[in-house]
Amino acid sequence: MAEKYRLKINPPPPTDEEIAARKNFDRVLGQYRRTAKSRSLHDTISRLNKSVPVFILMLLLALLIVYFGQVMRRRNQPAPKPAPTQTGLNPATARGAAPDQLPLSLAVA
Amino acid sequence: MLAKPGQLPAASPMHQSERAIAEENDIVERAKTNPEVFGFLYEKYYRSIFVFIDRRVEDRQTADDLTSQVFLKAMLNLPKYQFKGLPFSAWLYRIASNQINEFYRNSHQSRVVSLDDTHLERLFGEAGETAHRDRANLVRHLLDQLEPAEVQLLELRFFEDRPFKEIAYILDITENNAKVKTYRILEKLRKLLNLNEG
Repeated sequence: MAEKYRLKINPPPPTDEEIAARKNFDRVLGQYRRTAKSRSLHDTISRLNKSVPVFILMLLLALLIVYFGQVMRRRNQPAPKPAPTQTGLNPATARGAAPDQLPLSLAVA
Repeated sequence: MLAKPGQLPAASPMHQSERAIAEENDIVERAKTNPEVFGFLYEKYYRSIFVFIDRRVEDRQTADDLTSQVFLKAMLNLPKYQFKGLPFSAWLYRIASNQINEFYRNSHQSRVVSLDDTHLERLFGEAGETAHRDRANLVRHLLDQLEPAEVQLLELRFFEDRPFKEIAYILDITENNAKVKTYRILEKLRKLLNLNEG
C-alpha cells in the first residue's frame, strides 16, 4: 500500500535564479485572455442553451392558444341556415333521382 | 504612489500594516478592470506562492505548473474577490491550497510534507518537549494519524507560523475551529511522546 505522506526533511529551497527563470507574467496574461474569451463564448452559449428551449415552449404555447381560440370561435358561431326547399316535395325526388335509385322504403311507397 | 514590483520590500507579505493592506486593495480593485495591473501582484507574490507549493509537491516542474494555475485562477476569479481586511496573499494561498488538493485528488500520489529542523523545534516546543532525539520519526507517526486537512493546518501553523485568522481563511474554516483542531493535533503529539517515553 502507498504511504499516506512523503516526508522531505530539510529540502533545499529554490534559488532566486530558478524562481526568476520560471516567473513569466506575460504567459499567464496570455492564458488569461484566451480563457476569458472562451469563457465568455461558453457563457453566451450556456445562456442560449437555457433560453432557447424556454423560447420554443413559449412559442408553442402561444400557437396553441391562437389555434384553440380560433376553434372555439368557430364553434360559437351560429350554424348556417339550411337552403330553402319546396314544401311537400321529397328532397331526393325533387333533385330528379330515378325511382329505382331511391332507397327501398321510398320506392315501395 | 505605487512602488514598482522590483522595489517592493522583501518582508513577509503575510505580516503587513493596515495601510499597506488597504493600498494593496486599491491595486486589486484596479486589476479587476485592467488585467495588466495584476502584474504588480504577480511580481509581489510569485516567490511566496511558488515556495508554498514547492514544499508540498515532489518536483519543481509541478510546482511551476501549479503556481501558474493559481495566478490564472486568481485573475479569472478576481471580480468575485471581496476584501475582508486580510492581505491579498491570503486569498492566493487559499487558491494554492485548493489547487494542491485538486492535484493530489487527481494524481493519487502520496502527499509531500516538507520539514526543517526549525519546524520540528517549534512543533515539539509547543508540545512541551525539547529534548527528544528521533523527532522526524515521531512526526512520521503523528502524520499517519492525521487527515490531509489536519496536516495542512499543521503546516500552516507550525511550519509557516501563520496567525489563526489567516489559517481559518485559507482552509475555509472558522478561527475557533482552527484553534480546536490545532489543540487536538498537539494532544496527539503529546500522547505519542508519552507512549515513546513509556
